[in-house]
Amino acid sequence: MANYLLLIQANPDNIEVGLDALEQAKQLAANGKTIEQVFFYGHGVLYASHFLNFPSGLPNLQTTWLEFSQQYNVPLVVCATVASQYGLETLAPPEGNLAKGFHAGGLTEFMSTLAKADTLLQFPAVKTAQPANSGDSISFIYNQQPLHPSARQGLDMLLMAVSLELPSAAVFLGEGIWQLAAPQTELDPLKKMTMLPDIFDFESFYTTADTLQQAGLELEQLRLPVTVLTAVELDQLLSHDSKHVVRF
Amino acid sequence: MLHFNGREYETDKHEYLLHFNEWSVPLAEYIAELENIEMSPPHWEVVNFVREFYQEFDTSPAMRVLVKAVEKRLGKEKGNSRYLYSLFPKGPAKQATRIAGLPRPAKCI
Repeated sequence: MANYLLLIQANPDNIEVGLDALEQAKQLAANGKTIEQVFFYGHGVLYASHFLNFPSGLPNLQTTWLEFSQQYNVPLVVCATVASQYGLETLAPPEGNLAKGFHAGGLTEFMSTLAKADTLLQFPAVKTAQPANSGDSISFIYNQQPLHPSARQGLDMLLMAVSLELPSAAVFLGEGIWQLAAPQTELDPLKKMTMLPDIFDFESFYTTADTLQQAGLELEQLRLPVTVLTAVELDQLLSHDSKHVVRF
Repeated sequence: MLHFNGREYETDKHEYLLHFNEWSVPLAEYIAELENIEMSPPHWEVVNFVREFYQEFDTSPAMRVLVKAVEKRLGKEKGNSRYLYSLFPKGPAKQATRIAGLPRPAKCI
């Protein structure tokens, strides 16, 4: 029986994405599919705020998630560390502002659930083909510039996957390649990525020749050992060798 | 806030030192005392190691990372939770980083 994991990274005021996620979750549950967990990450952590309100004329998506969670017994998990960066103290009021019905958790829970799930649904939804589910690797795709929050949130997920010894791959495309270049400013929230090869002997970093060329970067300018894939090899990695593809 | 030797040291709400550079050996010994730990050479080895780790990677190691990093750099017989818990019974990552003057390791990781 197919089981699912939902990853919500959209801000609650993104009603379209919020409704899309709920719609799909309800449909899956109504069809007897198992949803193991709904994990709130990035801006999505704000769904768990005790003080969250929705404007009139729009549905209260927080209440809707809570009802869904009760009806189908699906845990709503919010990442405690990212939550604190959005002003959410993951304790029940008055000590914190975690809404009742949400559970403060960590990447450990998300990643170990992901390793067992058949399908990951990421919101905002990714409009590309899902992997064929034939491989066992978890592939992470990074295509944002280094100071974008999803760059560090995505790095934390990769670190968790690697420290749990899950087969993983990190693919840097487009602007994402700058995450691997020497920092352009004094700020370097991604410095800890060098611990992947140094401490964990992890070297599955990939990019494409196009990406390098568009950025005007050479492999030698990157701070990690990166392998250049052809379009065919990249497709092989993402559609055949991967069980899940997570995009940041 | 920590009060030590007639001086005040700013901390976060979990009593972790706010400024890495204000750290000193006597201050570390004082924090260890607060943690009910008497510093010995094996304790120092781990505390110094997490300080180096922080300088190198700019992040405070949580347990899983700490075990792996100690294993890699100080050897297998030290890179396991049993050894590290024998030194820091209330949580090696939490206690060693506090004594070392690092920020508290991320909860979620």
